[in-house]
Amino acid sequence: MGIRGHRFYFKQELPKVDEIKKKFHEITGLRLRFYSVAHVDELMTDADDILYHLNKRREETSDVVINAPHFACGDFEDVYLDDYMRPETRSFYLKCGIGMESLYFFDALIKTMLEIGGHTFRYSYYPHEEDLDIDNYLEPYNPHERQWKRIKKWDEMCDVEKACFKDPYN
Amino acid sequence: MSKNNITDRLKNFLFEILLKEEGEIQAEAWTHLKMLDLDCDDLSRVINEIPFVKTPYVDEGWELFKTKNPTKQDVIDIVKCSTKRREAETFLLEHFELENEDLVEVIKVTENDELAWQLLRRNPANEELEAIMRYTNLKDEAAEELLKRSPDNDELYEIIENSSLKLEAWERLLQQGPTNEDLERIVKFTDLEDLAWDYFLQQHPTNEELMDFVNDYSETGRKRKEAAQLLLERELGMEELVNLIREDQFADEAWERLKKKSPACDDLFYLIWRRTVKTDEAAEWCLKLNPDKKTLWNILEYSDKKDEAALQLIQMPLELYELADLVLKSGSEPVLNVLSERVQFDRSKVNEAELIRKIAEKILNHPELLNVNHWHAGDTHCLGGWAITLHEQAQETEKQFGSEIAASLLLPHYTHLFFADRETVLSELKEIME
Repeated sequence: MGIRGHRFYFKQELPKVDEIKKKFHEITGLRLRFYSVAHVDELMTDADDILYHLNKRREETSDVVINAPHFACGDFEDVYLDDYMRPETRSFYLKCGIGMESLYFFDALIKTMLEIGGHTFRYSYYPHEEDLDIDNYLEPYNPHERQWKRIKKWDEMCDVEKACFKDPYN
Repeated sequence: MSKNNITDRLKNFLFEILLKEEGEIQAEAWTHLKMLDLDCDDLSRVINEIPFVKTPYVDEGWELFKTKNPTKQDVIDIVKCSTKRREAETFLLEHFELENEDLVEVIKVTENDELAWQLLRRNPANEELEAIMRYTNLKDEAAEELLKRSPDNDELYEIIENSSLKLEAWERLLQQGPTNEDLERIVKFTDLEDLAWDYFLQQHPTNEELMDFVNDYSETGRKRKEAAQLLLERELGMEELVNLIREDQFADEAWERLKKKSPACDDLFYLIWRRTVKTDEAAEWCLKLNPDKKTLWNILEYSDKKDEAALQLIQMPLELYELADLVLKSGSEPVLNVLSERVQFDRSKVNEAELIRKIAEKILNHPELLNVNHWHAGDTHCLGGWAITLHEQAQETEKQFGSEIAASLLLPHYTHLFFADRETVLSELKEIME
C-alpha cells in the first residue's frame, strides 16, 4: 500500500492551526481537527516540541504512523502531517494512504493550505548550494482549475459531485 | 524534565530565532545563546551553513569554537560544511596528527594538493589514490602509483576518467578483459568514447545493454542513435519497440514493426499514457480492438482521439460522475444525448448561441459579475454558473446531478471555458460579441 502526498512551502511562516481550521470551514463547511503529541496552536512554533515528543515516542514504540501529527474531519480518513522541518522549517508534507475511499478531505485540505498562502513545493530534499532559488520549485495555484473549483461545501454537493472524489486507485 | 532538557530546549529556541530573525532580535538571541555554555556541537550550528540560512555570527562562533577544545572530528566537520573551511583546515593541520583517512576526508572537500602530496608519501591505499585522482591536481602521480599495483577494472576506469595515463590504463583493461558494463561507462563518461564503443560492439552486447544507451539515463546522449540503429537490425520484442518509440528513436520504423506484431491494448497503454510521438496512432489502433473502459479513459485523457473514445465509452455502463467527466472532455452530440437522457434534461429547448450571447452581454457590461473560481458565489458566477442561473430547468438539474453536468448540457461548445482563467473567458466572450 502506497501513499499519496503533497508538499507545501510557505514563504513567510507556517500557518496557525486556527487559521487552517477557519479557512477549511469556509471552503467545506466542515470542522477540522488537528491531533498532535504536543499541545500546539501554531505549526511553526510547535516544530521543536512535536519533534521532541515524536522522537521520544519513537524510542518507546515503532508505530510511528499512529504518533504522527494528523488532521481529522468527520468520517473521512485521517491526513498526516510529516517532515515539516525542511527547508528552513517552512515546508511540510501532507500524506494519506492510497486506499482512501474519498479524496474530498485530502483535496480540500490541500486547497485550504493553498488558499492561505502555501505553495505546492516540487522539491523533496535540500537543493544544492548553487540551486537555492526556491521560487523555481513552487507551482502556481490556479483556483479556477477543475481540481480546485470542484471542491465545494460538502453539504451543498449532490451525490454525483461527491462521487467525483472517489479515489481512482481504489 | 531535567535541567539538561530545559537548557537544550532553550538553546533550540534561541537557535530558531538566530536563524529566522534579523537585526536586534537576532543579536539578542546570540547574546543569550552565548551565556548557555555552548559546546562544539552547538557552535557548529552557528558556523556551518544551513541551506538558505547563514547567520552573521560565523566569525564570532568560529573564534569561540576554537576555545572549546574541539576534537579532530569536530574540526573536520567544520572543514566539510562551513565558510570557515580554510581557517578550519589550517587549525586542523596545526593542532592534530592526521591519519590517511582524515586527509582523504579533507581532500574531498578542499581539493588541497599539498595534503595530497602528504598522503602520496604515506603509501596510501588504492581507494585513497582514487580520491587523490578525483579531487586534486595530482592525478597523474596517483594514477602512476596505482598502475604499479595491479589495479582492478574499477580502478583502471578511475585512471581512464581522471588522468592522462588513460591509454596505459586502457591497454591494461583490455588485457584483463573488460565487462560490457565497464565499457559502457567508458563510452558514456570518458575521452575514450570511440575506442570503447568499438570494443563494446565486438563483445556482442545484448539488447538490454544497447537499450541502456537508448534510454540515456546519464543524459550524455553518447552513441544513442547508434545503439538504436543497431537494435533495429535485430529481432525485437514489443516492449523494446515501445521503448524505442518512447525515447523517440526511429519511432516511425519501430511503430511499423510494432504493428506487425499485432499489439493488444495493454501493450500500447504506456505509449498513450506517456504522450509519445505515437500516442494518437496507438490510440487509433486500440480503438479498433474493442478496448476496455480503462483503455478508453486513457485515450480520452491523453490522445486527440477523444470523440472516438467517448463514442465507445457511452456504450458502456457509466456512473453519472463518469459521464460528467466524459462530457467535459468530449462534448460530442452522442455523448450529450446519452447524458441528457440519463438526467432527463430536454436540450431541444436550449438555444446555446442565444444563451452564450446573453451571458456575454451581461458579463462584458459588468465584468465584476464574473467569478471564475467558483460556480456560484453570491451574485457572481463563472461562465457555466451563469448559464445555470439563467435557466430554470438547469437549476433543478444542478441540484440533482451537479454543476458540471447542468452547465455542460447548456453550453456544450464552451466547456473549455468552465475552468479557464478570467482573461481567457473575457477575451472569448468579446470575440463572441464581435
